[in-house]
Amino acid sequence: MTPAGVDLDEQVQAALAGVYDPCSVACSTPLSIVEMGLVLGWEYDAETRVLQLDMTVTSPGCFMVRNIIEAVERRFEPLEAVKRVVVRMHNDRVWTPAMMSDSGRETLAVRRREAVARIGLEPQQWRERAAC
Amino acid sequence: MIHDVPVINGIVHAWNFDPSNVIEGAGTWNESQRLVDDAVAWHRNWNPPGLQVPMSAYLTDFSPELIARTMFLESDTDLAVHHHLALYTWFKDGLVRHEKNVEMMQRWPDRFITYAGVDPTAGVPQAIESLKRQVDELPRTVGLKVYPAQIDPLRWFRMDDEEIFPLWEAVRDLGLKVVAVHKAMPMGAVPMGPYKVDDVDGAANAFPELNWEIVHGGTAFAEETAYAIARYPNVFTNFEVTSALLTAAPGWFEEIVAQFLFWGGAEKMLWGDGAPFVHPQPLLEKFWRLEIRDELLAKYNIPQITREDKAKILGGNYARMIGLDVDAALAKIADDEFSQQRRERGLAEPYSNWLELAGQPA
Repeated sequence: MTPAGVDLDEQVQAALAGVYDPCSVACSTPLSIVEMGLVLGWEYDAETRVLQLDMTVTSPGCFMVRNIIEAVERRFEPLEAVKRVVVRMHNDRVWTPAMMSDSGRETLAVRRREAVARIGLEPQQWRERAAC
Repeated sequence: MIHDVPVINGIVHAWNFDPSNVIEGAGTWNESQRLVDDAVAWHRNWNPPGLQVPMSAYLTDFSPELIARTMFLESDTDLAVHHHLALYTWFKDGLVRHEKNVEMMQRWPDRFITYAGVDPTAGVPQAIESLKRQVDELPRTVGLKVYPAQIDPLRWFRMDDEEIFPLWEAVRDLGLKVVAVHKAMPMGAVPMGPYKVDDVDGAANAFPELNWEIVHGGTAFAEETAYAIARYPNVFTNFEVTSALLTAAPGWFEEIVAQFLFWGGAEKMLWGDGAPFVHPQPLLEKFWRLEIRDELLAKYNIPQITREDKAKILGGNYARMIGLDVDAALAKIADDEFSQQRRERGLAEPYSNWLELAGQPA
């Protein structure tokens, strides 16, 4: 709980749920950094109102890492309980799909099934074209 | 060769990371410096522990000599593909100068395969002119490398846009075999759309006589690339960056290969690693030992990856794609300076040549 008695956990979760993984956006399935499993944890200092957020990215050389951090910082700006958010990026921590949330994984799976059905994609369809 | 299987590394990079090459303030977030910083992270985090060069060697202009010695003295790579990169809105020289292609083809024409590079967003006529100049100078050029977006100002194109087709016609008419496009990894704070792979089908359909290479099989969204290689016979995926998962997350790499085998088949994958930011030899050895776990074989209903599959991926597919006679190519390098040195001294230590060229103790 914050000094004002507000459930900080809910606020943090809500703020992070509004930050999207750029590569998921590029693949037409916007998933939050929470759904992607990029948030490793966080600590809150009630005295200083500083929130320390531990994160990783899906690739250690992610070109978008600073944009993700900036998006996180912006999401916390309206929160009175958080004076400052400090993002510690652990880009040496290798991300794998196993780190995704169940809901994120399901969203992605559904979207992929829809995409495959929409274009009538079959495995190794190219062999038919090559035979023509 | 690795265990008598020819190896063609589908992409290596003589990047220029010298600080003087960085365009200060490029893009909204100083994208050029960010790209350098990110490449430092790749080098440190995606090589086996402890295998890296000092920053005094890394943040330099990589020479063709460095690439040649690293690839052919320190790894089982037989031939390597090198691209001129036209990232002129990030780096003053585009990141990899055309002149490096020229030097490689002058000094080691039987070891390197080169791609021209142009920026289609600067105008299709200008891109065609630049392509013609490069091919004039290097008639053995086999491909074209493009990036889907540039910065300052932000601009991009789709591969299947008919306005870009005159460029693909020029590629075809000049006798080139392949267009390689950077995908999957957005280059900084830029629109995401151009990095999607959904525009490759249209180009592949319109130009069946050309081959289309999706550079970077992908990481988190590799399955989308797997779909892209399923539909057309002339669409391939290059393993650059994806292959680094062999070190960083081998179980995940197994799954990506399983997805590619299921959707595209072994014929649609091209070995590549982007060396020397990662060292080629540990990845080659790990790929050679790769076995896909039973759980994934069942999940994707595929047979175990075979020696023949690996031979296709490591070089056979690339050779077929550009019409290369592998036996003839190997005969030409059988007694060159690299083969002779390999016979005399064996495989050199990883990065020993880079350290030597940089004047660093091994």
